[in-house]
Amino acid sequence: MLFHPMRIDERQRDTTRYAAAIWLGVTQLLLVGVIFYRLYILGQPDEQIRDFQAVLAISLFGYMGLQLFLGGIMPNPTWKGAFVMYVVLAGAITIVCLFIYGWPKVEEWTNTWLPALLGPAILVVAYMAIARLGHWRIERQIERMSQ
Amino acid sequence: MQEQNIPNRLKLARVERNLTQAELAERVGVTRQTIGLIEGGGYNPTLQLCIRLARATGKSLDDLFWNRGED
Repeated sequence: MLFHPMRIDERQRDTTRYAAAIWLGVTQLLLVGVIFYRLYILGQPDEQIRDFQAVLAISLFGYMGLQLFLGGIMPNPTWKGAFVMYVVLAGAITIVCLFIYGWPKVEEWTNTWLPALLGPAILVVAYMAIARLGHWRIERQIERMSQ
Repeated sequence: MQEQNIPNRLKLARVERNLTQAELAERVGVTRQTIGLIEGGGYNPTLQLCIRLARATGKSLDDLFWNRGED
C-alpha cells in the first residue's frame, strides 16, 4: 500500500469549499489582468477579447447568482425598490462613461446608450428573479421538512 | 467576520474513556486531525458531529460543549 486510506470528513469538505472560493477569486482576478493586458498593453481591439469578457461575466455573475439562489436570504426588492436600483445603476454607468468617453454620436447608440441602459435593467431583473427563486426554494424546503 | 471557536471538554472526555484521538476519530467517522483541531479549539464541528462525539464519549452535549462560566 503506497498511501494510508483517506477519509473525507466535514472539515475537509469545508476546506475544499473555502479553497475553491479563494481560487475562483484568484482566477477571476487573473482573467481581469489578462483583459487589461490585452487591451492596454498589447493594444488589441475590444472585439478580440470578447471571449475573455464573456467568460469573466459568466464566472462572476454565475457565482454571485448561485450564492444568492442557494442562500435564499437576499433582500427581495419591491418594484419601486427595483426601479430605484435601476436608476442609480444606469445613472452611475452613464455618468462615468460620459465623463470618460464624452457625449456619444447618435448613430453609435447600439454601442453606447443601449448597453448603458439595458445592461443595468438585465442585472436588476436577474437579481430580482434569483432573489425570489432563492426565497421560494428555501420556503419549499422548510415546508417539506415540516410535513 | 472572524469565527469564534468554542472551548470544549472533548479531550477530557476522550481520556476518561481511554481512547486515542485516532480511535475516537474512527468511531465518529472523521480524521484524527479533525479530532485534534476540535480539542484544541481550532475547528467548530457541526451539530451532527457533536452528537456523534457525545455518543462516542458517553457524555451529553452540555458536558462537552457548554461553557458554564458564560451562563
